[in-house]
Amino acid sequence: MKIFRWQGVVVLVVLAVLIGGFFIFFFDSLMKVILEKSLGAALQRPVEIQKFQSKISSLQFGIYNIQIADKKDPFKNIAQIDKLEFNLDGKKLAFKKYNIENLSIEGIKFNTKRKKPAFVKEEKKEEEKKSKLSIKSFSEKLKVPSAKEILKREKLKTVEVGKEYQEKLKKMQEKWKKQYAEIQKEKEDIKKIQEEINFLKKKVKKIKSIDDIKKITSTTKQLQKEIKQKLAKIKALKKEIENDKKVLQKAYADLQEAYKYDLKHLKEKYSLNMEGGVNLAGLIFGDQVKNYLDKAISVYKTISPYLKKGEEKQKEIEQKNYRLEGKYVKYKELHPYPDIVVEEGKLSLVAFNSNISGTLKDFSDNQKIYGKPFQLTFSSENGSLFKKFYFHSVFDRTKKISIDSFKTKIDDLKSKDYEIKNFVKFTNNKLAVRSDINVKNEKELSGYIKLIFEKTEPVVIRQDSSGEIIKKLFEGINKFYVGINLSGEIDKPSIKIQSDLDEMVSKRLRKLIKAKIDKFNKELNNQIAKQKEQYTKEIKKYQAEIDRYKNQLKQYENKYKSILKDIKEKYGEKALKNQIKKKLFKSFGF
Amino acid sequence: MNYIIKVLSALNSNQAPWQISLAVVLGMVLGFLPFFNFFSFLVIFLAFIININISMFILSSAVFAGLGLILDPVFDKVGLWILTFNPLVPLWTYLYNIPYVQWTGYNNTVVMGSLFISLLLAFPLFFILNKLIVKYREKLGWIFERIPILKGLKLFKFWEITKGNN
Repeated sequence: MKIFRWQGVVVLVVLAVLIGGFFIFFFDSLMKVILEKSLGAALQRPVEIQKFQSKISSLQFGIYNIQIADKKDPFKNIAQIDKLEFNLDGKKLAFKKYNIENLSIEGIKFNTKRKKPAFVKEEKKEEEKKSKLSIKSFSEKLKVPSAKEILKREKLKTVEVGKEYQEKLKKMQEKWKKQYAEIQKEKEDIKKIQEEINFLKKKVKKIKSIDDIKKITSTTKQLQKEIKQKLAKIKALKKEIENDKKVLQKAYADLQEAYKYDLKHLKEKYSLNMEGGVNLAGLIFGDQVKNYLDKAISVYKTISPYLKKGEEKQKEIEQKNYRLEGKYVKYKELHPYPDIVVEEGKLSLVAFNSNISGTLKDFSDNQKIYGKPFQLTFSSENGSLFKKFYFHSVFDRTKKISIDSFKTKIDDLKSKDYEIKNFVKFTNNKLAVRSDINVKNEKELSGYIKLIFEKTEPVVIRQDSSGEIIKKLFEGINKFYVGINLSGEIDKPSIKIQSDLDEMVSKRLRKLIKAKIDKFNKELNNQIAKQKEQYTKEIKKYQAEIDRYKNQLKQYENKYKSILKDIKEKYGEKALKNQIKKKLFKSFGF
Repeated sequence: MNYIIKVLSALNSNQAPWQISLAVVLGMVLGFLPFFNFFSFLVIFLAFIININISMFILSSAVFAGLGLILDPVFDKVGLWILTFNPLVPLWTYLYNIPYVQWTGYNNTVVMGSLFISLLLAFPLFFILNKLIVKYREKLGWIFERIPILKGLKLFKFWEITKGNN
């Protein structure tokens, strides 16, 4: 019995030829599909490749028209590469090392339109309301309340106090009306008393006996008593007037207090806030910076693991297929070398409507072994939207502490319009961009981005009453800068935006607000004072009336007092006796 | 049913027991190994040039591939143990530094584990199967000739054909 089956070799050869043929004819198509799937999984976005071309004999490969679709918009590519060509070093490949001596990437474009829609899984749209709220709070600052409107909806203490006293004054008025009528009778009484005194005068002249004196003194006593009663009444009335005057004075004081309270309270409630500034730069650039930063961090996070992949001692591969793939154990190499190296690369990027050329140097997945940091540089001059563009990044993982740095310098960049929605728009911008960002240990973020607006024209979009105010705020601002400071961890970056635009606008806003506050306070003061005046007028009127009563009472009082004095001096018992004595002496010839 | 027929026809054929046993053993090695692998192609090459029962080889590789699916975690652990076993590390390191050897995937834990276990099982399995086939032919071979129902079945026809072919 034969041990070897030589026909089997023929079958094997035929099979090998068939498989080899299939491989040669379909390798490129297979690689295209594999690359699309693996890149799509790595980037977590749909990836399409138009063509994969290989020359196995010389280990040359080319990938053409790579489209990385936007997850949110199937008609948009977030990135597109027209051509990617590279060759592998065969000697290194024998040791499973992918060493690319020359890499050429041409036509890197971002945010391009797609001819055919990409297959995109639906995702929930994020809500973005923050900026709108901020704009609202800004415009709130400029809102001027109307004093009349405020007084319509606010309950004034002045009115409350005024009404309360109005009731009291009404009663007071009625009382004094009666009293006045009573007082008017005094005139008559005085007249009667005068007449009686005149009568007494005559009687005194005719005194003949003691009885006459007695009769007269009795009458005078009666008159004195009557006058004293009148005076007592007047005194009581005067006291009453004084009390009522005190009430009126208190009403006046209370009204004044109520007025002060209303003014203070309403000023506090409706006052325009002059404190703090406006965060315009945050409003305009906050979301955009966050978006750009999120995208940049996402790209960084995608690239970063490939720069340290070889540092792992054992490659852990998750079970993806129907069978476990296991782990590849690494051993000490006689000539250590990273698994993946791209020695040099030429790149061409389409950004800002211009072609920007770039170089890539020393990309490796284990810089500690390779000993050189990965460098990526883009530069261009006299682009259609800028005068000078320079971007340089270094991913240095050669030392224990890794430091990745990104530097940007753009001069005379004609940028798009920046807008605060429905508010103001900065047009015809020409700016200089400077940035220096560092990431330490792939975690700690630090650095800044400075946007220097060397020329800008603010255009007010808002057409309502606030439009004029906004115009005043932004008019003539044609230069400003925006400084964006980055810190914190890469997963939770802290973005601080500062700008002299804020200072400029805040200053103008404060001035505007101060004028508004003064106007508002004056108006409020006038309106409340008007209400107060209504009641104080009444009080003053009553006060004048009462004073009139008082004067009249005083007049009567004086009159009564002089009559009383007169009676006492001329018609009193003593006076009469003296008078008789004088008469007797006269008749006896003394 | 076809599988059973194939097994029975192989068992009742005139082929030498080693041809069937080796087919099962090589099938087991191929089944246990991850498919796209240097060692898998080596096994296929051996199966084609050694005069073994191809049907039995294919059948065996299918059965053991299913079993391999369950045993993969075991292969992974065993492979890792072998590849990190200190006395063997110099050997693995030496191989590691030879051009193209890394492409064999020998340093993969599942490859090494499945290769080691299948080779460990290969010799006992080969001899046990050999013995069993001989015993089977001695004790049960006559059934196909004497029982009319079995003789009437296609199975017998297969047996006849295979018998005649050899």
